[in-house]
Amino acid sequence: MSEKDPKSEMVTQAGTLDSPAAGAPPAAGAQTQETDSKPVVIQTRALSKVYRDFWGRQKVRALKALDLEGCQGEVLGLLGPNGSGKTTTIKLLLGLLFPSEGEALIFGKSATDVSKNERIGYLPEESYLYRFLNAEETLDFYGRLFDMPAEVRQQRVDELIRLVGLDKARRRQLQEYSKGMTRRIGLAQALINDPDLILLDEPTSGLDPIGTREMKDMILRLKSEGKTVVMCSHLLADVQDVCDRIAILHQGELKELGRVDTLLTVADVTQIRARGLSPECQHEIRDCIARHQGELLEMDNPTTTLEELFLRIVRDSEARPGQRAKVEGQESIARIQG
Amino acid sequence: MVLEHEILPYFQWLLYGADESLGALPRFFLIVLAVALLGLLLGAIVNVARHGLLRGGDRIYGIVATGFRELFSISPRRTWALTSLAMKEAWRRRVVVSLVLYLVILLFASWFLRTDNQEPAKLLLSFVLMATTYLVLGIALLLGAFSLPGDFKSKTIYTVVTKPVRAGEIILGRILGFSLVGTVLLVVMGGCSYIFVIRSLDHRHTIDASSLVRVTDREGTLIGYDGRTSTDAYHHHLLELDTEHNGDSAVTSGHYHRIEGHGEQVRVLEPTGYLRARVPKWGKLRFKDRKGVDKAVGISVGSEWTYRSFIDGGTLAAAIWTFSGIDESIDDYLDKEGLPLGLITRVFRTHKGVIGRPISGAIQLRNPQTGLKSDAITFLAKDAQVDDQFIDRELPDSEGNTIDLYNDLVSDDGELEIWIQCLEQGQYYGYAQADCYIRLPDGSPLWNYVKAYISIWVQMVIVTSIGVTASALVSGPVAMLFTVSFIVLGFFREFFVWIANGPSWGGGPVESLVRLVTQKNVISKLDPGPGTTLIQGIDDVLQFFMQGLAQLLPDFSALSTIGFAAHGYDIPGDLIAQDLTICLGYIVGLSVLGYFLLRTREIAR
Amino acid sequence: MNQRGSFYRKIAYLIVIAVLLLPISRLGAPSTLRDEGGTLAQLREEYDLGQADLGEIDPASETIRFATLGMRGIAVSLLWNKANQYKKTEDWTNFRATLRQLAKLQPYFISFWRYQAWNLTYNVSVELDDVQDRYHYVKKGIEFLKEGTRYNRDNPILLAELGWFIGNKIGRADEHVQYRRLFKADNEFHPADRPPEQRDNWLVSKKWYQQAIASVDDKKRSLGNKNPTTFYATVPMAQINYSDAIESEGTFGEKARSAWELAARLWGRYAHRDLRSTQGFYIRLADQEKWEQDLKTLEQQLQKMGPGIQETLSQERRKELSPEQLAALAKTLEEQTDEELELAEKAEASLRVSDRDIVERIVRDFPEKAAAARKLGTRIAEADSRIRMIGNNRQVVNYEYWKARCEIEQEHSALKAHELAFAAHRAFQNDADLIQARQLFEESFDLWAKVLAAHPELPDDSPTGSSIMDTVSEYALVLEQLDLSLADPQVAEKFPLWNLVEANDMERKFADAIEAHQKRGPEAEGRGQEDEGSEQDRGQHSKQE
Repeated sequence: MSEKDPKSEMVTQAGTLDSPAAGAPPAAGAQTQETDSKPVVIQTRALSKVYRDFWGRQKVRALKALDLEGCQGEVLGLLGPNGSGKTTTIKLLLGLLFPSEGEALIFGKSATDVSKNERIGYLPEESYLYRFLNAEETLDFYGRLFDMPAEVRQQRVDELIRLVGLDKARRRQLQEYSKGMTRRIGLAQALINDPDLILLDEPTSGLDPIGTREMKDMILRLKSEGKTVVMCSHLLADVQDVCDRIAILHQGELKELGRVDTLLTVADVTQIRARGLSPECQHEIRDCIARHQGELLEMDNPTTTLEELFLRIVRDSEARPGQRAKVEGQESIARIQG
Repeated sequence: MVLEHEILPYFQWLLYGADESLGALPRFFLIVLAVALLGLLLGAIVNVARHGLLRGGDRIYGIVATGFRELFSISPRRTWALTSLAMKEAWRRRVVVSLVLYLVILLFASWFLRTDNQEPAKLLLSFVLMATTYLVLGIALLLGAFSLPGDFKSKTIYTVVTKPVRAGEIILGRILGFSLVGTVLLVVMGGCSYIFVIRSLDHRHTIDASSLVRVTDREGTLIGYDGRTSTDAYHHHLLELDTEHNGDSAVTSGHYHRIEGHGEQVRVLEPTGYLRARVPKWGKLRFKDRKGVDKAVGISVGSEWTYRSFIDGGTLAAAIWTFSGIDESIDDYLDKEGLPLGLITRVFRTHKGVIGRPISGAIQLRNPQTGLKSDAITFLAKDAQVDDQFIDRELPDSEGNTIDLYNDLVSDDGELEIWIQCLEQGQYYGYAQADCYIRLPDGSPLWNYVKAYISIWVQMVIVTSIGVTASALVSGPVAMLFTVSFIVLGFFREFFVWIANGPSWGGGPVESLVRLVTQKNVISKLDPGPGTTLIQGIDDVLQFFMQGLAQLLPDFSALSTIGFAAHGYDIPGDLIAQDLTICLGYIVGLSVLGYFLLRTREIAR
Repeated sequence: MNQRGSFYRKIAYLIVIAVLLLPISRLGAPSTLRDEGGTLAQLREEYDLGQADLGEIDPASETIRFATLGMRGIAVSLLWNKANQYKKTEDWTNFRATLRQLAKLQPYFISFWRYQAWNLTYNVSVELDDVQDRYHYVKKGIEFLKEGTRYNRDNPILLAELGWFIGNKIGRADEHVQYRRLFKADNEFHPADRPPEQRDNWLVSKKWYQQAIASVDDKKRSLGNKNPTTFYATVPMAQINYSDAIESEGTFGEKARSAWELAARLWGRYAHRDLRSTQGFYIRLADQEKWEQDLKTLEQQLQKMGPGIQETLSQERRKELSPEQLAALAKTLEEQTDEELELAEKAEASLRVSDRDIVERIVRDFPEKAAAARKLGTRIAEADSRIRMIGNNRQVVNYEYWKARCEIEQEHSALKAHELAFAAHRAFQNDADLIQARQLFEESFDLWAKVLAAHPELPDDSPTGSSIMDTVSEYALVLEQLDLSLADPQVAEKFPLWNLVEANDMERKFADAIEAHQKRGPEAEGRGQEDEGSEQDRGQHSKQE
């Protein structure tokens, strides 16, 4: 990634940003391509959630007709401001909530089916663990819940404790743990069954930079092991760094979905950066550009920052609720251009 | 010893029940079926209203189908993990404090318990067992009702239910875990309280040897000594000792002391007989009225308590017990041959008679097959006390021929009738079925004490189960209130049923409330009118629901065996087996119910 | 805006709370020495539901009450219910244990002690069949009440109740013979320093009564709504009962006489005690005669002040009567019809001239004497009301009878009559010596006849009469064994107590004998009682009634 001043960049690039995916409906296209290649691990169909009060009166529509698919081996990020429905989606996928409409499938099974839990790991937003147990007991307890035999359990517990670097604190009660340590033991319990699908709710929240880095490395490592990771976060940098694809949610609606690189690529801008070009060559290129009435900034395909994209989508969504951001974004960009 | 309900043999109880009632097992299935149907109906209404007929039905089917599948895929390892978690949680929630509280209660119990009454053992035992019951039920209530809601609140439940844990295991694990903790508590409490009882009852008397009166025969040779012990622990004993100052003291306050003479020194040993476990063999009671006609019950003497009914003296009225399974082995434990009987007679006088003289009565034995009757054996009624009678094996019949108890009076199928009559005109004897029994050898009082604790354990487990199950649906305080009302209604189940079934005076709940507020007595009729009709209509509906609820209520007073232990009777094994079975029924039923409650609710809120 | 709104809301809550507190403070204000407190406090006072707060402070009780954390009311209700349940199912051990628990929870609630002690002594004890057991519970009730007096020191009600239990339950129950014997021998009950002759239930009860009276006299404790007339009579009555009881157990002679003498003295002291009447003024039972004398003098003075006025008034009123009334008046009782009777009664009432009427007439006719007459009138009215009040109160305690009885019982012949009757009883019951018994009985009756003749103030239907009647019944049993009966002329002729038997034969055991006796006619009666003219008078009197 190139280092630029994001502000000026934004202004300049805004002017030139034009129809990122020229022609066909892009996101859907990208999706179909993915499904073709790898098995779908999670799938939601028109997934909706309405929170009701005791009397059954509607309080909040937390999620509106979400269609989403996640394939094996990818890292899917759910992005959105607070209250956008990220966590609700995760809970629906886990079966902690029941959908009001639509359905959520995991490994092709209903999210409310307990047997799906055999293959998933879940790290909740804060590590909801029994604070009166120590690290070993905690992992042993969760291991038992997977009906693991004693030897396997013992081995797994040792592995994980070492993996998350809690070897020294393995016999201390969790109530004495720092926040970072709690996160790590939380991650360890999520991995106790060597899951194929890992759901992470705000995995880096409350972690220091080193902790954040380690968490991201862990996610990438899991990905490299061929596991599917679904994570939600409102920390854009994390998402940008580790996710293959992102879904941006706002007010319970899906606003954007696609590969991170695709989404952030500004297709009509070319950025050239080269080494060892002779001054003639450079001149030639400049001429060439000049011939085409272009202005050379840097020879490259630039990317926007996720933050910028995100903020724009949220702003658009607030202006025109209920519609996919994509189309709108195009229009608005066109308008800016004009 | 008051035995309001007959104890049926275990399998009869389980399968057939008493007359006109169902066996426990069929009843259990009926109740499960009813609850299941009710649950289905409720679920169907909610789901159909939310999702429409087709999808709603589909969901219901899904839940029930997976439910059945999952109920049979309970993993012991997972359940044990949750069990030990519950135990650790209980430990962390300082259940040990309850033991300290218990010890404090025992320490201060002496404020209320003076042993200056005629049955100190009964008082102490009933206090100790009652205190244990209340305390343990309280702990069970708190542990059971607040555990799951605590998990919901701290959201630790998220990390549990996202593992392949079946909801039933979560419920069952908690019930088992808390029950185990309760078991440990009960063991400690049992030990402490047993020591407390023994220590409280222990006392020694002294005898002033010089105060003993020499008893001589006609020739003036010494045959023994008479005297009394010092007054300690609010009583003294009369003594009849042999020439060496040895012997047993007379029985006072339910115990006696062994006396040992050592030359001029006379030693009184520790009290004996305070704690007993009499093993009665009960029979079936029927009556004959004053004209000798068979009756199921005797006459009432106007007592509010209808436990005993009475026979009038000097008439043909009789109380007749039929015992079965009688053979010669009954007296094997005694060094004499005959029939050991325990008899509790309640005397009711319509005139004073001779003041200070008990009312006399007669015992006759009869062979129900041949009709052969022994001659009347007269006795003096010891009112409301256990009167240990012994009938010799060789008896005269009414013509003065000697007959053999076991050969002539017991029928071929081992049945024997005991007839008791009151001999004095205008005086009455009152009996209930449990008031006459054949004494079998005493059981171990310690084992009896343990059995009493088992019945407390059963109550504790039931309360835990109710608490845990309720807390699967509602928050901690609500679950607690719910369980408390279950306990309270369970303790007063009979009253509750009495209200529910309608013949109670003063009408149902609403009508009673109206009477209370308007200060109307229970007998006078309410003024007819739409208001009254409405009130009684509501009551009818309420009573219908109460009848339903009564089927689910555990009858804590029936589960409790404190009465047996306190009165010094062996707790029948059948009763303990029944209690344990009931307990198992509650665990199973409530776990299944809890499964569906937990399964159909959203964990995250 | 929002903040301000919540501020206003809080203010509103505060006001509502204050408004709600107002009635509570009015209702629930506690009473103090000067102020009678709020409505609840007054109601509590009115219905005597208050809890006294003087007496032993029991740390156990205080702790337990504190430990209920304000749920004492509920705990108490539950325990009362439990106690009732135990009572119903005849579990006396647990019943008593529950009472102990209750006692710790509400130790200053007088009604609780009274009610539950009564329960033990009177209701539980009779449920048991064995006399020893019965006595056990009688004693437990007494001990329970005693405990109550420790918590509530100097409470006259509890103290008097204790006296009543020890006196009347032990001394008057059907089992009183056994109870009294057990009580005397009860080493656990009596303090070690109580001498054996003081271990009589009546004497012990007298002690408690004296304490009760002392608490009122010395400690100025309130009697509540208890009638002082009966309250103060308890001490002499206990002495009377004691004297009576020892005689019935065979103690006569000087001991019995001095017991009666003490009783007479106590009765006399009681008669001279100032008793607060229901009208508020103080009366003395002994003062009846004095007031009657006063009244007589005052009435004479009034007559003197207006001589002949009474006659005049009477004449005037007679003139106002209707002819029917006069006609009715003229007839005798037998001739009158019901309506006439009514007319006559009304007429008679209107003819009665009261002192007040005379005063009014004097005031009207002799204005110069008005002031004096009015003053006299007031004094007459006062004397009148005293006489009536004293009379009523005398009736309440049967004053004249007991006064006479205490005197008579000291006389040699009465003592002897008792002794003879007792000897006869012994001869009959213990020795089965019928002849001897009959003779002793008859001697006793003769003596009694003499005593009764000498004391017409002792009516036949008094307690003395009924106790003599018991002796007569035993005499009849002796006669029966001798194949005789009171109906036999030769027995009846010698029998001197016919009037007494007539007045006391409630069970109509002697109906035949009385009939036979009456058939023999007045001359027979006269012969039987020829030396007892006064008896005969009374006999005829009673016949008229």
